This record gives sequence, structure tokens and C-alpha cells, in this order.
Amino acid sequence: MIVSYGFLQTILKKECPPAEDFYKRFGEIGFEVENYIKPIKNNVIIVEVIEVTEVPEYTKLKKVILTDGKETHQVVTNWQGVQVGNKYTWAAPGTQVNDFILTKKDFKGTYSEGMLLSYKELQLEPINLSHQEREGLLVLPKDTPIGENFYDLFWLSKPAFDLKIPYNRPDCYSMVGLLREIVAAFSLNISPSERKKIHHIYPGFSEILLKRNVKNENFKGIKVSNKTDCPYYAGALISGVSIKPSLYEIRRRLFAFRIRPINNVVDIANLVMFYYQQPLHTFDFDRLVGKTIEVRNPISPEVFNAIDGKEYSINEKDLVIADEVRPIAIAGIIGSSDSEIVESSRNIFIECAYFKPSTISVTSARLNLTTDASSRYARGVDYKQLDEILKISTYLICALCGGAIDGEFMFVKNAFVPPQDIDLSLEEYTNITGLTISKYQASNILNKLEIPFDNCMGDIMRIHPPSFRRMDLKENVDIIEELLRFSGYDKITPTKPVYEIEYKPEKPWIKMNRKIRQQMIALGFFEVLTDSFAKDEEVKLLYHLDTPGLVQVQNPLRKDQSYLTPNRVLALLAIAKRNIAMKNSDLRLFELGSHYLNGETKHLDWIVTGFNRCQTCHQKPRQMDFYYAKGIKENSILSRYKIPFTTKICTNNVLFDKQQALDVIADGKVIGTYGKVSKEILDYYDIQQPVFYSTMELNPIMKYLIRHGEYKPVSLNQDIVRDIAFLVDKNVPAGDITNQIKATAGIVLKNSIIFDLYQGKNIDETKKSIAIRLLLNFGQNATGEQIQKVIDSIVEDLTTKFSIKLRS
Amino acid sequence: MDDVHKTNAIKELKKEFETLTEGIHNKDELERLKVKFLGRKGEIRSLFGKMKDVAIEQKKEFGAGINDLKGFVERRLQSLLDSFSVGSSEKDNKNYCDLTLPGINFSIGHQHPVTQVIDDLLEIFRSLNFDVLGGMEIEDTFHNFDALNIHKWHPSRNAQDTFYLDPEHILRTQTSAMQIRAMESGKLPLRIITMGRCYRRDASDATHYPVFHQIEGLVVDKNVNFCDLSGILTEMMTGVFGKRVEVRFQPSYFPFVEPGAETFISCPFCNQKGCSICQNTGVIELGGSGMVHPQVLRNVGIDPKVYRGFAFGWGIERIAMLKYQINDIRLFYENNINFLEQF
Repeated sequence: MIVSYGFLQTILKKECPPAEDFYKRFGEIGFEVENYIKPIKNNVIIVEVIEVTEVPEYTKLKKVILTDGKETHQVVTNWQGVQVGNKYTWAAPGTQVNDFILTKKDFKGTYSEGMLLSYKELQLEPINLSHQEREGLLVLPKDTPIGENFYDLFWLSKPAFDLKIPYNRPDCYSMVGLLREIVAAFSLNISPSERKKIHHIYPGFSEILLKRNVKNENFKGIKVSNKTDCPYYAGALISGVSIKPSLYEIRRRLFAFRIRPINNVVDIANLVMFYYQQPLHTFDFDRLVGKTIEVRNPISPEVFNAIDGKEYSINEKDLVIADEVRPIAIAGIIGSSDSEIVESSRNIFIECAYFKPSTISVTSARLNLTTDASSRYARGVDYKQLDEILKISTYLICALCGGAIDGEFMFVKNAFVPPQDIDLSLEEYTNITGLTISKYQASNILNKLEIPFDNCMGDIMRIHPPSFRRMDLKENVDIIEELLRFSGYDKITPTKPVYEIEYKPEKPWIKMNRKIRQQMIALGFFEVLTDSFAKDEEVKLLYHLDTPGLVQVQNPLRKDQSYLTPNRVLALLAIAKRNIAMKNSDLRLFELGSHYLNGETKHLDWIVTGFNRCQTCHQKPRQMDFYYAKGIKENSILSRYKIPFTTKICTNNVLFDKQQALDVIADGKVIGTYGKVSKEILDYYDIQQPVFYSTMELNPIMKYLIRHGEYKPVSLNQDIVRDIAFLVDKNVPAGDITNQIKATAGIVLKNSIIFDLYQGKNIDETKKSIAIRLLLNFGQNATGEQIQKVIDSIVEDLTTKFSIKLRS
Repeated sequence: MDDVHKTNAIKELKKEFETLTEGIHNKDELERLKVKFLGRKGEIRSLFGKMKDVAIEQKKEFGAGINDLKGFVERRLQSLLDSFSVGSSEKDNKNYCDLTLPGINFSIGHQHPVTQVIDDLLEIFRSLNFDVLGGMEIEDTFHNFDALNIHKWHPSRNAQDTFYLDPEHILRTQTSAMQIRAMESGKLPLRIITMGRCYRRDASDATHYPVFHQIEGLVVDKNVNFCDLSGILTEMMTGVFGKRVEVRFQPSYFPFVEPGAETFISCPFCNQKGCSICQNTGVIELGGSGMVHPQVLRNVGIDPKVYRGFAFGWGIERIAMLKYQINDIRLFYENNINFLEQF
């Protein structure tokens, strides 16, 4: 909602506070200034054209003689539509327009002093202009005074404030409502009746000049078939209007509110809405079939052609205004293109109604269509002023468009439930705010805000919320907010709440996340954050789109938001791609986030790719491969938190290379998978280097991460180290051998490390050579015999099981 | 030359040598010093030359004095030479080590700036004896909207602002849903914060992104008020910025608080003098807060006549942007390594 300071000055006259005070004060009373519209200052004069002739030797130029009321000037323009009698804006030589200083120019003997201006040269926003005005020169109403500065006259040389109106304050979607707040905020001496005067819309208005026709017998009347959604519907027939552009006094007010001019009738309806809050709609009466108005629901779904040139699908739940055969408006939202006021319209029907806010909201949201009218109806208009607004708007149309009312105003009314009284104890004010207020101060604020009340016993006040505030004044706290708003939120000072403290243990999931994060960062990983969306093509890499359990977004804003991600690897690969493109190709990335497949599960996901470190003179980098990934997977969190796990080859996951992927199993359940990302997937992301990915579901491992570790006594005996080296069939998995060693040696085996692995020259090609270092600890001094016994039994078992041959 | 003078000559030469060694900074200067004292025509030689003038009975003592001096000079020159040799390229130095070469390279991990701020906030609120809740990102419309007094036709519910998964389920637009669950559990009084990813159907620009993290606080107790809210927020923001900040309020409308407020802090960067971060206003807007609407309490079965509450809900990215002076929220989600490694 835009408030023009120039318009404010016109209404408040000498009571009007300085412009610079408004910005701060609006914020203090809860109306945030979303945009401060700067004043435009320039020496642009309003002129009238008195002669248009050709420019010799030019086919596309016109010579224009114009007057500012005192002198005549001559300009040359290329605008073909320039007409004698029209009023335009003119900048004299010496004026700066669009960074250029205008000079007197000579067109082969025809001189030109300055120029006539279009909206662009005037720095006007096209949204506030009619279609014609956006094509060429700005044409001003015929009664605009000439010789005046354009910006001064149209209040554009003064600032304007674009205010964010709180949703619960429909009364302030109007000048009258905002003036009430302004008068209260600055304690101005302006009465409510002064604020509401029709003269603020049209200063020259006089009721004496109004004419009345006899009742139009053709009109069959108003019928309201759905009184729940439309408890009030009123209207008037006005005949004999002549449709023209609006007069200057109306046009400058349209500028003040930044309303696009349409024609004299529609402009008045719009101005009344912006000034008084109440939306109005005008229909071309002669185009109504059957000369009847009915408020009803559509009988069946149908397509509605609206005045914005678009088609909307409406159904039985929407409310429409209809003539005998078709809807002529979607109630409270938009009118139809074949009933709107056009230049040829002579007889019009003006509508003033109350539509149920929820009905308008639901339709407006479904059609994705918000209009100035719908946003006011959806928040709730003031039912008490409906009769008055109908009269004001009808009188203005009659006075300014040359029509007369046919017969009487027509009303279909139902009783509104008045707002409930509220009993407020000022002690409650203290309880809620921590501040105190006297009855005198409270009375003062309520009076300023035109909220009636009675003083009762003690500190009790009985509040009677007025009709224009019934949407937001419903209970005590609403009144408390009003009192606080006008005594000043700046009075809130910090105090320390008093409470009984108690031990609050760290939440398990926070503890788990903290430990995981620490571990991953210690391993050199970068934490990343991604959104949880995926696009069709990405999801298709992993699943058929009809896979049950995939979560689709019903209303994505972009294509890449069609699904919630079933696996965050998709986002991690996209990040890898971007970083590799930036020449950061050695990556270790992790994220703690959710996977969305059959619900929402928390996961730790990570990828590694590229080299483990940069090359220096001391160290050679190692390309991160499966064993690197395996080390991270198995030797960090799983080992550190003693999570008992086994692994199983994973061959059925399209995400992974079939040869290099393992499922991790804990407590009998697959809790994660890791391995090399398949070529098909990397191809989609156009990544040329191998990437290794791991995912792990967090819920199953939480218990291990949050438990207290157990102390195991440390052996005082040093470890005994023995190496064995042997040849074995090359197809025997090393893991089987180490498992066997573990089984044979039992608790005395502290660790076994494969420290050498060789295949090739000097060895039978069906064999491989393995060297294993055994770390034994007997918990006591062991004799050479004891040690040898263990080694012998290990060798014996390995020989039996795997036919190893010890190397000498 | 009398004896006293001769003995003094040795002492003076020693003194001169010591003075000169203090001015030695490199090998060349050292070499010149060596020549001056130990050279064929050096000072020590010339002292020996004076031997002939010394009385026979004192020759021995004088000679020993010169030899002592010579030994002293030689040792000192050698130790100086050693000190200059470290770091040079002398091949014969077995202990040679080029200290200017880089150390072994370790790959250091980095925590995301947003989760770092989350950790800061967790610590602050644990110190204030608050509980922390997380919750799921898919939420039902009752907990996200209805219970919070956001009725069915409120604009924030519509499909323009919220990602719907089906008519009853959405991606949560705020973590308040968890506050509702906490209140539903019936354990009072309550002091909780809720944190986590939230979603709004916004086109992304420098200050909007469809996903963001939110921190919300809720206190429900018998005797809390708006000034207490101010007190808690002051502690919180002082913790975040590491210096005292003032919290200020302006009236604002949120369906779930009444009185409701837009919350500002005094600009911690310019001490309210005005800077580019606060756009010369001296204050920075952080988000909504206020006293819990009695209807919200009623919705979860708490009697607003007995209990009152205050609440606030702010974006964590917004706090992180201020803390690190980042001007574009999208940087957090682009995950450019060159960005992340700065934190």
C-alpha cells in the first residue's frame, strides 16, 4: 500500500508532520516501510499544443507550437500522434533529461526548443500508466492546469512510502485506515469525519448537482443464492454515463496510489477502494443477458474469460456473479471481459458487497490470482461502511461521468455477528509485557485508535471492538498489543527470566552428529549442505519413477525440485562436478542429511575423488581408490565406536560399479553401502575421474555412538612380533586368511597386518605371495615355546584350509 | 714499552676483537676479521713481533698471553663460522637441513559455516539451560499451520509459498511444528530451541534460497513476559557476536504470537554509527518474536490463564551471513571448496 506524502499534505494540511518523521514512525507502529520512493525533481512544465505542422524536408517529424499559458514555444517531435488541444509535459532547453542537457536544435531551418516527454523521459514506472501512455508521449487530462511543474502538481516531487500492511489489519489496506493510525501516532487534530470526506477523492464534489432518473423497469433485480458466502450484496444502476479518461484531480490521486488509469468509471471505483478499503465492481448493464444479477456458485466446472485476457477454470465451490446465462465475475476477484466498462458503455451497474474472506482466499489461491479486490476481501472488509461506500461511489460516478441513478439503491442484507466485547485487566498487560500502564494512558490510546470502551471496576476495561477491527481484536492480548504498540515497543528492556535450572543432557542425535562431524573433519573432509530436491532425470538414474516410496513435490518452483532426493549422492556429485570444473578435483565431501524413500531417514553420505594430497618434494600423492574409501569407511567411525559389522559384496545397486562395492551389515541389517560410483552415473554428471561414495543410515548406529566406551585393562607385557610369508593360490581372498588367523590364534592375537602382497616374476602365476605381521600378546611373559606353538598352529590351519606354502 | 703496557696491549686487543665480533653478520665480514687478527700481517702476529721488546723474565708470560688470545680468537671465529654455516649449501655439513622447504602436507577438513553457527547456538542455549529439538523435514499441515493459528485460508499456507507433497503433508516452512509437539507432550515449564532445515517456495536470490536453517526458541512458564524475551535474545546475540548487543523490537504480525514483533539488534560492526552492513541504520533486522498467542496454547491443551510463553524464530543463514559478512546466501549451498576452506 503506497502512501504519497503530497497527498497526505493535501488531506492533513498544516497538521501534516515533516516527511522525514514518517519513515521511523511507520516502523514504530508496525507498518514497515518496504520501499521508500524517492521524490523526482526536474523542471518539467505542463503545456498545451496549439498548432501542429509538418517540418520542411522531414517526413517523420512534426513541428509543434505549444503554450505554457504565458508564452508559446516551438518544438520538433517524432511522435506522430501529437494533437492540438492535448496537454503534454515539456522540458525547456537547459533541462537535464536522461543524462542529457537539452539544447536548442535546428532541423534545417526549423528550430526546436526542448522536447515533449514520454514516461521514460519522465522516469515514471510503466505499471502506473495506461497502455496508450506507454506507447508514446504522456498525455495529461484536458483540465490539467498548464504552466505548472508536472512533478509538483502530481505529487511526484514528494516522497512516497510503500508500506507492508500486516495481514491482520485489513482496515489499513486503505487511506482512511492508515490515516487513523497516522493521526494516532502523531496525535494530530483531525476528526474521523474529516478523514472520511468524499472531497479527499474529488475536491469539487457537490451533492446538489446530483440528478436522479426514475426506476429502470428492465432491471429484474438482484438475487443472492448463496447467502453464506455473500451475506451482503448491494448495487445501483447508473444510466447515461459517458466513458472518458479521468479528470486531472482524479489522475493525480491515481498517481498518489500508483493505480493504472483505465477510464473515468473504473478509476473512481479503484480510488474509492484505495481510499475507503471497500472493493467495487462495475458492469456494463447493456451487456447483461436478461438484465439480472445473481450471486451463486457455478452449476458445473467452466472456463471464465477475465478482463486480464486470461482464462480461468472455475468450479462449483467458487462464488460468481452471473447474469441470466453466464458468470460475469468471479466474486470479489475479477470481472469478465464481456461485461466490463468500455468506451461505448452508457448504462452501468455498480456492485458493493461483502464476500466471505475464506471463500475468496481459497479461490484466489487455487487460481493463483491475487487482485487489489481479492486481497481486501480475503482479509475481511468493514461491513458497517458498505451502504455508505455504495453511495459515495455512485455519487462520484454521477458527478464525474455524467450519469444519474435509476431509482433507488438496491440491497440484499443479512445480519452480521458483531464483534465480542473484551474485558481487559491492566494487570494482564503487566503480566504479558513486563511493563505497567495506567488506566488514563490506556484510555488515551484506545480513544486515539477509535476503539470504544467502558471503564469498569478496579483496573478492568470493557472494550467494544469496532467493526473495522473485528478481524484482529478478538481477545485480551490483541488489546495488550495495541496498548504496547502506542506506548512504544522501545520500552521493552531486557530482564532475566527466573527459572529452576535442571540438568539437560545433550540430545542423542546432537551428540551423534557432533561425533561424526568431528571424525569426518579430522579425516580431511569438507562438510557441505545441499537442498533436498532432485530432478526427474537424476532420480531416474537410480529408480524407475513409478517406484513406490519416492516422494514427489506437488508444486515445484523449478524442474530440479520435482522430487525429494532419494539419495544425497546426486547432490554430492553435482557439487563435485562444479568444483572439478573450477580445477578443485581432489575432493573429500560429506553431508549429514535425509534420504526420502519410503519416508525420511537420516544418513551420513560422503564422496572421495582425485588424489589424497597435493604432490610435494616429500610425498607422492595417492589416487583415492577403493581401498582408500574402505579405510575411511571401516577404520574410522565403525572401528572408533566399536560397531560390530560385516561386509558383503553388493552387486545389485545401479549406483555402484558391480566389482567394487560392499554392503555394510550391522545387527543383521544393511546399514550402508560404499564403493566406486558406476560409470553410467558419472557420465551423467560428466565426471571423468573415479568417485567413491559411501552412505550410512544413522539411526541403527546411534546407540553405538552415544554409549560410554568401556575400559579394557592395558597389558603390561610388550607385544610379540612375528612375520610369516607364504605362497597361496591367487584366488584366495586375503580376508579369509586373516579371519582364519584370528580364529586359530584366539585372544592372544592383537592384530594381523598384511604388509606385503606380491604377484609376478619368480612366482608361479597361479599364486600370490602374502607377508603378514602378527602382533601377539599373551598377557604374561610368554616362553619361546608358547609363541612357536601359536605360530605353528596358525601355519598348520592355513596349510590345511588354503594350501599355503611358507617361503623360506 | 713497560710490562704493564704490554699486558694491557693483549687485553685491549681482546677487547677490540670482542667489540668487532658483535658487528659481524656474514661470512665475508667474518673472513675480514680473521685476516685482521690471524693473518700474516695481523694483529696477533704483530703482538708476537713485540716479543723482542719484552724483558726475558716476562717473555714466557707474554707469549702465553698471546697464545691464549690466539686460541680464544680462533675458537670464537670458528663458532661464528658454524653459526653462519647452518642453512647454507656447504656440502660437507652432515647436519644440513633446509628449513625453508615446506612441511608435510596434511589435508585439513572444514566444517560448514552454517553448522558452525548452529554449534555456537547450541552451546549458547545449553548454557542458558534450554533443551534442543530437531525433528523431521516432512511435516503435516496441522503441526506446521493449524496448531500455530495459521488458518486454512492464510496466504502463507498457499501453494505459492509452501512445497506440498500431498494435501496433508508439506516440507516444513518453520521448525515451530516441533515446538507444538513439545507442548503437546504436556511437560511444563518448557525451555526449548528447535533447529533444522526448513523450506520456502522462494526463487533463489542473494537473500532467499528454497532451503534454509531455522532456530526457534520457546519458553512456556507461569511468570515470563516480553522483557524476559528481550533478556534471552540479548544473551543469545551477545554470545553469537562475542560482544554486548542491544535488542530492539518493532510491532509486527505473526499469527502465532501476540503481541508480536520484528526483532532488531544494534549493529555489532559499527556500534550503531552506521555502516554498509546495517545500511547506515545502526540496527540489523533478525526475525520475528513475541508472546505466544493464547490460541496456540489452547490448541495444545495448555491453559493460557495459568501459563504464558514467548517465542522467536530466526534464520541461521542470516546470522551466519552477518557473522562472517557474507552477502549472498547462495554461497552456502554452492559448496565451492574455495569458499568452504575459509571457515
